[in-house]
Amino acid sequence: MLKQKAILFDATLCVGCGECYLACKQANDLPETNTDFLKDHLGANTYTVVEQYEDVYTRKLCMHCVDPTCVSVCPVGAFTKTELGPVTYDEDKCLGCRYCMQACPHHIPRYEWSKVNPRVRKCIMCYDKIKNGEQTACAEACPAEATIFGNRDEIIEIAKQRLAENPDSYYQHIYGLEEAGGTNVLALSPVPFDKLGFATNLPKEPLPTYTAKALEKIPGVVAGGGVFLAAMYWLTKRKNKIAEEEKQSNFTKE
Amino acid sequence: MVALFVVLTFLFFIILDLLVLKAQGKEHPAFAVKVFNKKFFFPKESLISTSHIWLQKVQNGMLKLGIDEFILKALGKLNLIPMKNEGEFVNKGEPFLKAVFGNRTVLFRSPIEGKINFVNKNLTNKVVNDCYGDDWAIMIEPKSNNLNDFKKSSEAIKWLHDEFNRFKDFIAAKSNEPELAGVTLQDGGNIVEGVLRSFDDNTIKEFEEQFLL
Amino acid sequence: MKLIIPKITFWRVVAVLIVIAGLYSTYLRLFGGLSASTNLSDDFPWGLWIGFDILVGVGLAAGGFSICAIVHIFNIEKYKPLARPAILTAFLGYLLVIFGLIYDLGKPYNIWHAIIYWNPRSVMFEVAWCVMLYTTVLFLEFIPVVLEKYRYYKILNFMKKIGIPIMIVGIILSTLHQSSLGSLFLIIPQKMSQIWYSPLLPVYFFISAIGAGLSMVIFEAYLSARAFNKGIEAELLSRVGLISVIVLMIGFVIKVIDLIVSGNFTLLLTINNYSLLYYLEVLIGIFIPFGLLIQKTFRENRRWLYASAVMVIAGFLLNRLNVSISSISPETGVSYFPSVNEVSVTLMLIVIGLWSFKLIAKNFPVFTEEMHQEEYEAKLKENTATN
Ligand code: SF4
Ligand code: SF4
Ligand code: SF4
Repeated sequence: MLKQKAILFDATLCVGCGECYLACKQANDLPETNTDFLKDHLGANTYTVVEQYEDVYTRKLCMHCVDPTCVSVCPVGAFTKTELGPVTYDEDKCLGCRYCMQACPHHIPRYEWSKVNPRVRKCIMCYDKIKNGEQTACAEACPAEATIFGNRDEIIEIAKQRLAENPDSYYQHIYGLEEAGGTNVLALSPVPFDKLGFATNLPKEPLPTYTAKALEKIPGVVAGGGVFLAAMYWLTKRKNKIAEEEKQSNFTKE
Repeated sequence: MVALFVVLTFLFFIILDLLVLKAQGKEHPAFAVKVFNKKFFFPKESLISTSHIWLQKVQNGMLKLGIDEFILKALGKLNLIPMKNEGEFVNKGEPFLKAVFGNRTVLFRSPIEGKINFVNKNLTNKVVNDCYGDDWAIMIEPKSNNLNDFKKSSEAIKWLHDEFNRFKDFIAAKSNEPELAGVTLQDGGNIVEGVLRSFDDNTIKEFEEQFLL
Repeated sequence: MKLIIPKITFWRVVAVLIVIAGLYSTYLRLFGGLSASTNLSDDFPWGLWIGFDILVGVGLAAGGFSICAIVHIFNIEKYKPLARPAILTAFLGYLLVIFGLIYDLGKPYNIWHAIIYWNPRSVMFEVAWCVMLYTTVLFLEFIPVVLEKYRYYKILNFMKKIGIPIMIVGIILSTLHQSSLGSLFLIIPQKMSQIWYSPLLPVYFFISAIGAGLSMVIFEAYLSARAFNKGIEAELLSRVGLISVIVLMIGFVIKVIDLIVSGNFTLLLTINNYSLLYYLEVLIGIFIPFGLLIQKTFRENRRWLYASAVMVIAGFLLNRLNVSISSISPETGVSYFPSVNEVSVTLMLIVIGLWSFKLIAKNFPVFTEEMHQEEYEAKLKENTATN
């Protein structure tokens, strides 16, 4: 088994320089969308942004969930959770139903609304680069070690270490350990995560289990329904027939 | 907001449709209570003419005239307005009676020639209901006593049935688009009483020509 | 050939205007993409076309399978006169849903991908398959009407034999489909208002679709009466109305128990946009119609029956749009309101549906009862005798 990769973003170290933003644009051939990166939003041509909340900077990018909602909801399987961890997208399969956008708990996928042949767009964790053993462009570009890249288990260890070593500068929580089943992008912060616009109302279990519970019932409905309906048909038909015959015999008696 | 918008749009169209019907003086066919069925009643002592006017002998050789049940069912709620005054003379085939239903009218022609002795005063502003009884139209003193042209009892009922079938085909042809005229009614005879009031003036005219002459 | 100029009536003018607007919007959608034609955004990826054209369209087509089950599975033959119109409505409804999907999908030409790329974990995948299969079943259920007109009694005879299994398949597919539209929203528990979110959403969608679908049968009977100047099966329809509101009431009771058990009923105690919308939904869609139709006098009054059916449908509209749009709180505070184009395309689809129904009902024996197998056989003998 290949080791799962992960990104750790540490808001306490982020200086808000925007190097990751620029590196991502370059690595993925994305056109410029805003001259001031702090004012930009995630979009069809922006996979990651740096946002400022008072004196804390934070990043937004696809969290590369361990059991990704987007992968589970796509009717044609256009999203794939790769063995290495990144969640990738195949535009040739996609129908454009946008269920992935509706369902993603982190509000990540973006759409090319103005195109006639639109694609879903989001960070793909520089899949082509990391396949070759490289780092993601954003981690490579980060001058402050606020974004680092590595194996997920090691990354988690580093995160734990940082929380333990400097308990005062951190809000004691590793975002992404168990949010909706966990993510391959983990985050640390000096303040509670909802203050940085992270989704904090997520359940622990992966969201796909919610629909799985409903989907599991399908075979039962099909089998049970089939038997029930066939039985009802047979019974009512028989009842009608008996009633009919009774009528007939009454008739002849008279 | 979106939800409210959609619901209000839906209700808007429903209400608009009812208003349109109202403006056209029609009733929603589904609100009409009775289905126009084939069951006809015709009084034994009466005679029926082919213009849907019944005649009945009364005292002094006079004849009482009125409209039949078929008309009542085809037109729905209607008022009758006699077009002649007492003492006037009417020719055979001359319009002598007007029925107003909704904002439309049809004319009835006299099946017989004679002098009008009485006009039913009670008809004024009254919705016709008892067409063979209280709601007769006029009494006439006929010029001749020959009543052989008219049908009675079972023959009259049979004729009404034929008229009903003819009427159904007529409605079927008219309620469809012109290009589809000629197909038979698809719903197994489910026309309602007063069905005519939802048609246009031309159709009413044709009805008059085909059924009331 | 005679040149035929259709008469100008109020509704024809309206319909033509709607279609013109709809075609213009279609042009925008085709050549300008979704942003030129809709108000959808990254914050609101699903709008009117999903909420109304798909969720409501499919839901209201539920009358088809409900009546079908009553007549053919429970063998309550007296409802037979309602079966064919209901099946036609459902069939056209589903075709329109597919039509609507083509507008809404970003890459509609990939719609067939659901056949070759499978993802059974996806509710949307289930929805796609149900739409495909059930539309086929509806086609098979409706085709006898066409065959009867052209007197293909041999095929009809055969279809009769496989009829019941087809109906059963159809009912199961509908059950799955109606409920799976509710399951679509199971995956966003944290985004939806808990007034509407519940693990039982699929059950509610199923129950309310039956209830509203039956009211739709009533509504559609009134529309047909209007279009063809004919009467309605008042007595049958008033029973259908009663069943409709009882089904809805059952759904409501389950919902109340659910709200109490989950503790979410407290959300209804504070007055805000959500709770008001919910109150409106159950008041119009369930309580008033239930209160009316449970009484014989109102049920048998044609106007009240119509009014109740209209209310049930209005409540159903509210429910589906509440679940799909109103209950979902946008991340960024941006709200969504459909664009003129989204509205005009939706209206155009409805016009097309009504026109198709009218055209088909005029040319095929939709309002007659289906023949029995014996009748087909008799006809067959007749034919061979004369030939
Ligand atoms: S954050 Fe959203 S888009 Fe990214 S993997 Fe998770 S569910 Fe998919
Ligand atoms: S929009 Fe494309 S990628 Fe997203 S769920 Fe639909 S088909 Fe899948
Ligand atoms: S991992 Fe790659 S694609 Fe994702 S934000 Fe970083 S640079 Fe961009």
